[in-house]
Amino acid sequence: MADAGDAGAATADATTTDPTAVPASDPLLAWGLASFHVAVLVVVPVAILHRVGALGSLLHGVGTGVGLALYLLLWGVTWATNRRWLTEADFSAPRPTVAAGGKWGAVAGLAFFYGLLVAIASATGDLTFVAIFALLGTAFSPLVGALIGVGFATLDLLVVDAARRVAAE
Amino acid sequence: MVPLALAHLFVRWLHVLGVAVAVGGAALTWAVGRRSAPGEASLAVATVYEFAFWAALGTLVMTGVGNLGAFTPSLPRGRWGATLTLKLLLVAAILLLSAVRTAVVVAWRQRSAPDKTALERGYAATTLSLVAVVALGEVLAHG
Repeated sequence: MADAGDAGAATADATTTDPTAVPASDPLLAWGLASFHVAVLVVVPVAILHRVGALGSLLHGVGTGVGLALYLLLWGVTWATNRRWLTEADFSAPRPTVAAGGKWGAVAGLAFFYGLLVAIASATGDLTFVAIFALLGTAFSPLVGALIGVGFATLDLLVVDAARRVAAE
Repeated sequence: MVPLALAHLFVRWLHVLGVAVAVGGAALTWAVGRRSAPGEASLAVATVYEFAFWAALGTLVMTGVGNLGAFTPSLPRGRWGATLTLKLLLVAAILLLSAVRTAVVVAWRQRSAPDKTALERGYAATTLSLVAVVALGEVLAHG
């Protein structure tokens, strides 16, 4: 896998020669894709839970303040990790770009899990439960994050490809 | 401790603010694209709107879920439930197409020149689809 410097140089080269290129270093792209990911991560599960009739009981268990705080945490973590991913991304080289998406997805998953852990610990106060949850979450949250990261990196490559086609018209 | 009613009022206020920014900004960017020659001015407006749009959409999703919490523990089914499903599907489609629109603006920023037709069509579609989401939201809130 190319390192961040090589990938950045490759991206810079692509943008100077191709007028339809979507430069990964643009802060608008980091902000837009991060916000897109977080919104999709909420809207799609909400739609599925609503269809199976489980949304009401789930929302009932999460207070307004906690829900807003967790959303803002996920947004911040996703924005920070997206920025790091985009410094390594080279849209003309899908495989290393998707692999980097998995790596930064794992980081995002772990960071969000620890925020969730703090919320649960402050709500329950049951140290045994929190300790078991922390052990399981530390093991599984990077895996879940990596899978989501790979999925979003693949989706982002399709988005950028579609944008290049529109910009070329 | 913030009273629950005040928290709900704040969430609804944020939701309305998000709608105003998303719909008003899209309409403004569409109008600027129609009236001005393609160039840095329309691109600058589109760029500012893209930053604001994602802030607004993120806020709308966050507060939209918060508003659904007012119907718990059991959300209505039937026609109301079908309308909510339709609204969520439309929002998901807007999110995906908006990601493409933002990436197109990023590409235009590279060469400092937007395509007038694509810019107009993109923000017209954004405005109209967001208005449709607002209409579905009205149906959910007031029947």
